[in-house]
Amino acid sequence: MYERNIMIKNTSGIHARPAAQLVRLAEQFKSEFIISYDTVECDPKSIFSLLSADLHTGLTVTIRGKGEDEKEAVDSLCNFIDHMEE
Amino acid sequence: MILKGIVASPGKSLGKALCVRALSETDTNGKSGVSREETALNIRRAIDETSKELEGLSQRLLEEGKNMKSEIVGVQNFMLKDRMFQDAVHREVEAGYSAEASVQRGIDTQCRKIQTTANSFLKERIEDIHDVGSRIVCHIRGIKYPDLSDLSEVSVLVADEIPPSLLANTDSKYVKGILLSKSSKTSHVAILATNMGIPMLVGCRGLGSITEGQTVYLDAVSGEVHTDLTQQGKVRAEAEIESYREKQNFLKKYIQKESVTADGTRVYVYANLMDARRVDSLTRIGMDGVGLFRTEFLYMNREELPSEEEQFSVFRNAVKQLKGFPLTIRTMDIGGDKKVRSISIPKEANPFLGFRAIRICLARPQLILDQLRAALRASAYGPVRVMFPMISSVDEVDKCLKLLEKAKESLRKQDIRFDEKTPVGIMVEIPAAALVADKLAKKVDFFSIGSNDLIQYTLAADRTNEKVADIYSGFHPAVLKLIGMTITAAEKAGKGCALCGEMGADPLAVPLLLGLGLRRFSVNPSSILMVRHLIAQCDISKAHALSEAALSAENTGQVKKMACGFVSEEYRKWL
Repeated sequence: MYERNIMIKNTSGIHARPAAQLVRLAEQFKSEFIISYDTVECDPKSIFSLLSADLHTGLTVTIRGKGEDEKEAVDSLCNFIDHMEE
Repeated sequence: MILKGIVASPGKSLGKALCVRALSETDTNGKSGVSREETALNIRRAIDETSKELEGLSQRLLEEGKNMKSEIVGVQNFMLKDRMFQDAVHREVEAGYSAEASVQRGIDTQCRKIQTTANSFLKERIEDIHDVGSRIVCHIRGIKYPDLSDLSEVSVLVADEIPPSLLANTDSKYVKGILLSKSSKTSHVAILATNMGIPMLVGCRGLGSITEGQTVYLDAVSGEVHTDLTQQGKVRAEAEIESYREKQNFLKKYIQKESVTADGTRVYVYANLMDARRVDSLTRIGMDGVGLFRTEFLYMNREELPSEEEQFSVFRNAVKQLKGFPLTIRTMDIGGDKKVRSISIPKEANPFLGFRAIRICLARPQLILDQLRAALRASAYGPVRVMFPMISSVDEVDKCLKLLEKAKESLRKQDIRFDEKTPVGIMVEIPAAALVADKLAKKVDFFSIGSNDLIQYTLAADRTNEKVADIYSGFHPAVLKLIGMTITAAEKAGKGCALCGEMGADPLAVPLLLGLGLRRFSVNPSSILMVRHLIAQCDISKAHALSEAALSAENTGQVKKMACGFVSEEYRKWL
């Protein structure tokens, strides 16, 4: 298992379009993930899960990955969130 | 072939038929009649087909440079394949629900989850999620999904009925006409079409004979649809469209003119409106204000109620654009044929006689308090008038006034500015209200006669039922009597009285209404110039003699005949 914390900085958070991009990215990896904050947990391979988790701006979330490509995968997800615009 | 229908929104157009089969609602409790494996297989097939459809649509939108729309469709494709959604659907299948019901339940579950987040960016996506569900259900049923958001050529929609939401999401540049076999001219779709300036016929028989892609000529003035057009027929249709356009051009001389009768009496012509975005075009033609600002649309196509803040910003925006002309805000008129998801109304045997409009508001005061606070706050930016619909008694008015005072008091406490003297009025649309109009006039500042409902309640003829369409008529002497009583009661109390139903824009009714003493008409924006022209043709004293005679007529037919005989040759062109 590998995990990292990352802050959501773009103004509108992970809304529909970035969520779809995130799913597309997550699906490229074999690992399974959990994105969490407070008591909320969601699955970045599911757009509905991402959307109902309400990942808004200013939030620091933990991304946990488990699988053969976990490190590369988590880093790549963090990198995506870090570079989200709009 | 010529098909006939009832004009619900005037205009003429030529275009290709686009047959739309609107979706009937899915029964979310429907149980499956086949094995679970088969149901699951059905759903998988429908999802695959929907996915292909969305991929194709997304690609095409991209090629057309509609990047934003394309991306949204792309997001929908992700929703379709979503594992959480598919798991949810699978659970419903296991519980024995039908393919349709399982998909719909799965969709509803996802919507509910997103609904609980506070994120407004996401709430805007709820419609997209419902749209995904509808697409899958269509594939399960084996029918074509009615997608109007993505048209690329001038079309005339052909359907039994369409939900207002379908039209609201439409690119009006391409929809040049609507033909419905059901619906009525006072339905919400009709109001929407009129506001969008799209010619529309309802209650149209024989629409089944129209084939997809066939060129049809829609004459939503005479109420006819011409199909099987020859080359000659097309030329003739184009000529007619042109002549209609000329008539509209003729009316341009009334732009920015006050309405005055032939003998110099000033008459006010207000606009009926439901969308602040249309104020712009109104101020261009000039009007005396908005006589009816509908607020139901703030509640449509969404799961949650509109907040006070949201309503305030809509009202303020309209008030500001009106630049000093009054905005008459009617509190919500939901119920009857207008349903919204955020206010649940149990199934009723007679919705038009049931839990509707002010009756809902008085039972759930917070609904109307939000509206009243929003309206009052807007009054700080320009003249606002507040109007309560569906009033049947003095008691109801008292309750409404009490709630208004409560709204005012709460604003005062918070030091929020508003106009203390905001005029308050009621709709007179229930015969009982017309009969006690003298008592009601003492309580409020103005009346507005809602002729659509007044006619239907007086004659006990459902305005959405085409079978009784010939009974439903404002020319019935009983209806005229009630209208006359209302106007007289307002006049005696020194209060204003307007009429905001379809009748006000019916050329044959204009002289009768003037004769009955009406000086304030509130009509659809597309009719303002015509009504101004018609008023200019009428002489008040002669009109009064006409209405006196009409009041003692025996029936609708006699009244119509009298009115026809009354108007001039030139006037008849507009009938």
